Amino acid sequence: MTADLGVLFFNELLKLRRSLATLMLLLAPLSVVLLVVLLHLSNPGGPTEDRWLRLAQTAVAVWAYLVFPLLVALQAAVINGLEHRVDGWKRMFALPIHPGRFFLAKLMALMVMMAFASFLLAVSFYAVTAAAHVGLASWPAIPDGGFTFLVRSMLACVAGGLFVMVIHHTLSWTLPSFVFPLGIGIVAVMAVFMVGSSKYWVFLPWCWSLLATAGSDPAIGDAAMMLGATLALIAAPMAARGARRLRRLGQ
Amino acid sequence: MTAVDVRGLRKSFHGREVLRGFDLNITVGTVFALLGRNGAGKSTTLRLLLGLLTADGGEIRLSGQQMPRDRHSILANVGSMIESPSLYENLTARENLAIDARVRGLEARAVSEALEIVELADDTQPVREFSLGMKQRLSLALAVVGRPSILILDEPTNGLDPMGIADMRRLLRDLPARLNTTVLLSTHILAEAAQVATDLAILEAGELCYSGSLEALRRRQRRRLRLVSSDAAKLESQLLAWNLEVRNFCVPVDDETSAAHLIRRLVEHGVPLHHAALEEPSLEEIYFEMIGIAA
Repeated sequence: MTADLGVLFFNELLKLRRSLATLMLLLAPLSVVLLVVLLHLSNPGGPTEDRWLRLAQTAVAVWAYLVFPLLVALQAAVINGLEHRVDGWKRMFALPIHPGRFFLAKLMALMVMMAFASFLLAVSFYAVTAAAHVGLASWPAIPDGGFTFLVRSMLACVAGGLFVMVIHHTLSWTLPSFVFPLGIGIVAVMAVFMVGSSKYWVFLPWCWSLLATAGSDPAIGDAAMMLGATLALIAAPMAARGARRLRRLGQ
Repeated sequence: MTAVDVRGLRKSFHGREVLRGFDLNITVGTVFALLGRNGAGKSTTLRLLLGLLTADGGEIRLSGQQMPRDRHSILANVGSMIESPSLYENLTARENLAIDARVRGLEARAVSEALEIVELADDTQPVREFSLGMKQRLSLALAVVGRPSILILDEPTNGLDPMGIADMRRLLRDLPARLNTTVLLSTHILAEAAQVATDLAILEAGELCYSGSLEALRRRQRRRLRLVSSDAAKLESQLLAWNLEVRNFCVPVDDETSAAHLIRRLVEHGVPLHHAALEEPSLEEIYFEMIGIAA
């Protein structure tokens, strides 16, 4: 009797019902949209289509540089914190499933949640700016391909951030404390500020989600996406195989 | 038929030997209590049976299958409750049960049945609003969901109030008949073992002092003859002169005949006896004597 990964994945989503993770998933993208709206209101700059694109790029940059990596760290800590808080590990590991499958199910939940939050940012930004343009003459019109730009940027951000998700999930799976994984996330975001524009970006995975969305150099964007996705595909099964050992390490 | 068969089980933590190689045999359909003080190795034993820890030596078989080699097929038929309840407090009782039921490939009916067995209401209240007694019941429901053939319960009445303890013991007693299951529970409370279990093992410092039925344990201990005399000094010196084991003017005897024989001899030797009574040792006394022997 082996439950498939889909069952375990939906179980992980069920565990998050009425939890902080669900609230953060909605608040994080909406706060970025609110920030950009406030930015425009404080400095309108004219209702041109070019202006909309610059606002959209700002929203994508704030998301990919700051909010996305911090949200990854937070969500990974919450998803695994559910088990740490009540020692749910002993309950999980006494079920007829390999611990590695639980590891993968939690990782899948994290990935889907981050993709959902990113997509919510694209949809909510598009909807808010479209509504504002209809209601207020000072708001820029949405150019052709505006929504596609948002969705493509978010897909690139998620793909570039996949390896960081594996890292944070592994840290939070192993360590019972919220502090260390979140601390790593904050320090890494600060490091992106210094390393992101240098040639050493390739060595800091937290840069990849930001650079994957950067339209200025498509080659770097593609490389960042490929790195994030490929390393996640390699690292996730490896970490899953050692899931039980990782838990013992953290005890 | 054997539900649990353990041979030469050994486990050390950081060089300290917690289990020193013991054998344990549990018959199908019994309520078996693993009795011992805190730190005796009870929880370690149960965790080893569930594959949550790896043994340093020995062999574990549950329903004929070997742990950890057949871990998945064993755990498919084993329900467990290890120490404090591991419940997702943001979820309801049904949602908590649904998580385990889905993993075990069970239908929603199994969840309703588990709630019914532990007499827990199926409502929308999240677990964070539950009392400790309700949480413990829900933990038991998690263990029984899907009617496993073996139930492993670590200190199931831990932290409960007297009413909760009585309720839990009643539930535990009824489980083998209701679910056709074997129950292995650990406890440090002797009265619990006596009230709930049909068989028990006494674990002390990682070694097994006794394993068998409660009745056999009671029979194993000799009864004692309590003697009261107006001349206590004479009584004691006479008993010691016959090399009898005396404690608080009690002498171990095999049966009524040997008791009567001893009384007659004392009277013949001029010991004034006021009172003589044959006493059964309490389970508590047996337990402490067992531990004393092992120590």
